[in-house]
Order: sequence, then C-alpha cells, then structure tokens
Amino acid sequence: MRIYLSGFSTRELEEYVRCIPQAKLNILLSYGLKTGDYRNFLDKNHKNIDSLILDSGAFTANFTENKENLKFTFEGYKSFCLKYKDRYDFAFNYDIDFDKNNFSTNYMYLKRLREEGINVVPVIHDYIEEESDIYIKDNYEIIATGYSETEKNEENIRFVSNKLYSNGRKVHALGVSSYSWLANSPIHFADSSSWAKYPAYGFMPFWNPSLPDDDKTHILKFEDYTNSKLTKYQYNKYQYKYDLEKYLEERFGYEYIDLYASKTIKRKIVSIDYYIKLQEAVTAKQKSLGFNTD
Amino acid sequence: MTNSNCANCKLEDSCDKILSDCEDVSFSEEAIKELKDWVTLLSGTSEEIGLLFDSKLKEVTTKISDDTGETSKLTEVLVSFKVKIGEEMNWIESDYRLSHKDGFWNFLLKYFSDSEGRTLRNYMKIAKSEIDEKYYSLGIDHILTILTAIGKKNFHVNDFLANGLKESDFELRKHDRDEWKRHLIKRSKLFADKKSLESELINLTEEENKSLIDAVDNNYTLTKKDIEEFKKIKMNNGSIVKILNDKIIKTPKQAGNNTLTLQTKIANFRELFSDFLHSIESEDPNSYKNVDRKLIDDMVVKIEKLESIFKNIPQEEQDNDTSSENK
Repeated sequence: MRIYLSGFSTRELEEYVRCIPQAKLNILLSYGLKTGDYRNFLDKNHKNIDSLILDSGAFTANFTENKENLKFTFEGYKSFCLKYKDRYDFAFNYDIDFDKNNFSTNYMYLKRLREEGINVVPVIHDYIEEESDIYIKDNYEIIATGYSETEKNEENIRFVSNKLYSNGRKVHALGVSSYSWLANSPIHFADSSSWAKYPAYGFMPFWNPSLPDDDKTHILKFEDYTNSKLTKYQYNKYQYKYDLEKYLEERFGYEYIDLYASKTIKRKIVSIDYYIKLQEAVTAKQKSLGFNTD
Repeated sequence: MTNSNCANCKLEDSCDKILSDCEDVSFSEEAIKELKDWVTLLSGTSEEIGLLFDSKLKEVTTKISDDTGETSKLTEVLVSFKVKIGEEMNWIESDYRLSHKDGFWNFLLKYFSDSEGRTLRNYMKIAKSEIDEKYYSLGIDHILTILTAIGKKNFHVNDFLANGLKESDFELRKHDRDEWKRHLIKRSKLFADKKSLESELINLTEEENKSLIDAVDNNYTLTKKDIEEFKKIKMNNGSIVKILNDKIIKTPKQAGNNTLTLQTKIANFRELFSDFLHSIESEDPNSYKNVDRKLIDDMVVKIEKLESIFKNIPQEEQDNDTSSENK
C-alpha cells in the first residue's frame, strides 16, 4: 500500500533523498492549495518519486475560513488535470459539495472529468447508503473514502473498503494515516498532511522498533516554548533516547541535538520517514490478514 | 429572458453569468428538458403517472412562458413540480411496501439510474416533510439542507422556518453556504431546546432567550436535568440567565507567552551558525581580504562572550538525559 504525502516541496524531497538516496516517495499535489513549488513535481521528472496524484482542493474549499482567497474552479481543475495528464497516476473528483444529500453535484463533475479521459477517482461521502455501489457499477478501479461529518470512522471505513475490495476495487482512504485504521482493512492508498503538521506544532512522530505492539508509533513533543504543554513522550526526556539517537545518526546522519532547533527541516525529514515506515508496517499487516494491497 | 442572476446558483459569490447562460438555473430550456426526461422516466413506472406528469409539465411550461422574469417564482414552479414527483413516489413506495419484502431502492433501480434514484429520494424526502409552498422559492438544495439540519428533531419544518429563523438568517445562504449549514444546525438545536422548555411550560423572558441563544451557539446542550432545574427556578419567579451564562464554556486563551526556551533559542542559533560556517568555508579565501577587519574582531569578541556565558550552564541534567532505559 502507499501513503501519499501532501503539501510537499522540493526542498524536503532533496533533503530526504540526500539522506536516503534510494528513497521512493508518493506525493499528493493539491490543485486548490498550490503550495510552494508544486509545479516542480509536474514539470520535471524525479527518480525518487514513485507515484504522483492530484487532488482538487475540495476539502480546503469546504473548511477554509477565508473563502474569498480560494481561486479555483471546476474548469480550472479540469484544465489542470488535462495539461498534466501523463504526469500523475490518478486525480480525485472535484467533490466540492460534502453534503451527502447533494451527491448529484459531485457526480456531475465526476462524469465530466471522466468524459475528458481523466483517470478520475470518485470520493464517497455517504458511507451508509449505496454511494459505493454506484461507483462499483460505474466501473471505477480506485474509489476514495472522503469526508463525512458523522460517518467517517474506523468501522465505516472498514465496512466500505471490504465491500470495495471484495468487488475488485482499490480504496484510497483520504486523510487517513493512523495504523489501526489502515492496517486492518484492505486499503491500497491513503494520504497524510500530518507529516508537516506535526513539526509545525512542535511534535514529531517516531516509528519505534523497540516497542512490542504492532503499532510502534510514538509522538514526541519538543519543549520549544516556555509555556509548552508536557506530553507523554518528551523529546528531551524520551526513555528510548538511545535508540532514537542511533536511528537519527545511522539513517540521516543527524545528531540528537540538531532536532532541538524549532524550525529545522530535520524534524520534517524524520516525520516523512515515519510515514515510510508506517507504510511498510501497514502493508505487512494487511498481507498477514490476506489482503493484497501491493 | 432577464439579466438577473440565478437564485439557485451554486456559485452565488462569484457568478456573473446572465440567467440564460447559467448551468444551474432551474428553468432554462435545459431545465424543461430535464422535466420532460422525468416524465418519460416516470412513465416507465406506470402509464397513469406518465400522463399525470405530462399534464403537470404542460402547466409548468405555460407558467414559464407567462413568466415576468422573477427568478424566485420560477424556482417555486419547478420545486412544486419536483415535490409532486416526490409525493407520487411516496404513494408508490407505500403501495410497494405492502406487497414486497425487498427494499424500495431495488424497485427504483429497475426504472432509474442510481443518481436519478437518489434525486428521486430527495424529492420524496421534501414531499414527506410537507414544507409549505411559500418556502419553495428557497430551491431544492437549500430545502434539503434545512431538512438535513432539522433531522428528527421535535418540531415541524414550517414551524422552524416561520419561528426559528430570522430574515437575516435566510440571507446567509446567499453569501456562505457552509456557514448557512452550520447556522441551521445551531438554530435548529436552539429551536428544539425551546420546544422542550415550552412543553414543560417554561416561558423564557427576552433576556433569558438571548442567553439561551448564546449558550447554544457555544455548543451548550440542554439536558433533562437542566430542564428540571430551570423549572424550579421559574416556579419561584427566578431568572435562568446566570445559569445559562455559566453554561458557556469559555476557553481562556493561553497566556500569549510564546517565548522560546533557552535550549530552543540555542539550537536555532546553532543551526544558523552551522549554515554560516559552512558558507564561510566554501568561500574563496581571497575574498576574506575585502572584509572589514573590525567586523571580524567584533564577531570574535561576541563568540568569546557566548562561550563565557555557556560556561555557567550546569552539566548534571544533560548527563542524566543520555542514560536510556534501553541503553
């Protein structure tokens, strides 16, 4: 399975590849957000990118406070998808309306993108009723589970992904990147923007191989500010400090003290690596459950 | 055709199209075609229904051709047509359920595509709600949003629209769809709370009403225990304003002391300094002679001063930190 990282810039790609030259990353680009140098990923070939996919930015549109700053339309997204048609693996639908009652709006956009020959992925917002059946019948190879105010939970994602998988479809769980949600369901793809959010808020995820559990996640907290709240795993008092120190040195050539710097890119690099490890662990667990999500 | 913007337009904020060009407008030739398609589709379920809607369609087209250019009236005509479709389908459903064990959805799929089936169910939902015709001008999408917000609460949609919302609340839908949805959820919750209080004969004063609005807007949920408490207070001619104000969970903002810890300040400087050293090392040594010597001397003095400050930081803590339980 693949975990796509969203909100990526070439700076992070270059630093990660400098540390791990054989790295293969999966990147999700958001047309709506247009962050940083996103076009670099589309205009140039990167041997360290395994897969590139596109998102319309519908999620941002639905939750942004400052809507007047959003400058994107269906026509714009369609043109964008067409322009870079050979550069990405698939593109999510322009599912601009998250209200499950307004399915027809999203469905209309889906059909229009498909008619243009775009490899478009429908996004389910209704987990309970028959929205997934419609996409199965319409013969979409990949179907995404998206936002729902009340229905997006581990149980419903498992239910829908099992149904889609048993019908020979691949599932992309949008915005899902927790081990338990992914590992126990036949999910081929997921994505995360947390890799960047964690460091932005003074946290850093670490896949700790010393832990006995299947989910080896520890979220470490840096004491960056004088009023920082303390959490269970403080970076400067981490009980597995020796293991982490060794991992930082061997995998990236970083010193433990390098990561005390609050704005260092190194925190992001370690965070990216967590999702690479998570991806491997989830794939292994899915395989042990009999799911083929390669 | 008129040049005013479409009342139902989903791009209300930015749409500058004239009515006849609008893709979403409900009464263009395209809309008539959609209705005709409905009639054809419905004829598939039974001939009687086909005939019924054929005559309804004639009524609609006549009304449209008589139109004076008022968008809202035309929306009403179209919503009315769709509600009629919903009503008929509700009848069909109730007949169907009497004689079939499988779900009505399977029946719908025999005659309609999935998306048509879902649209029909929306029409059925609106018809079942018995929303007053005077609200048809809101359009199908907004009516559905309202019904979704109300859910299964203890009041009728017409009561809510007449007494639970103000003119300004309705205006919101034209400017911000998401805010309109959130607002409807809050107002419907408030209205449900008021109904619960009324059923216990608790009448609120204007001030209490205002406090209740504030509390609900701040995620307060009325409980049975609260109702009992309010009842007692009101029976003693007391006021529930204070209690309601206390229900507002005010999360105090953290003291805005976002000062970096000394350790982080040092680490940030160390990273900058490392980059600086790296760039100096990569400079052509010949370029050093162009630098003002005073500048370099001053910098060295500062680095020495830094060294003398750091000498005062105790070592003990660091020694403890490096001892890992896994070491």
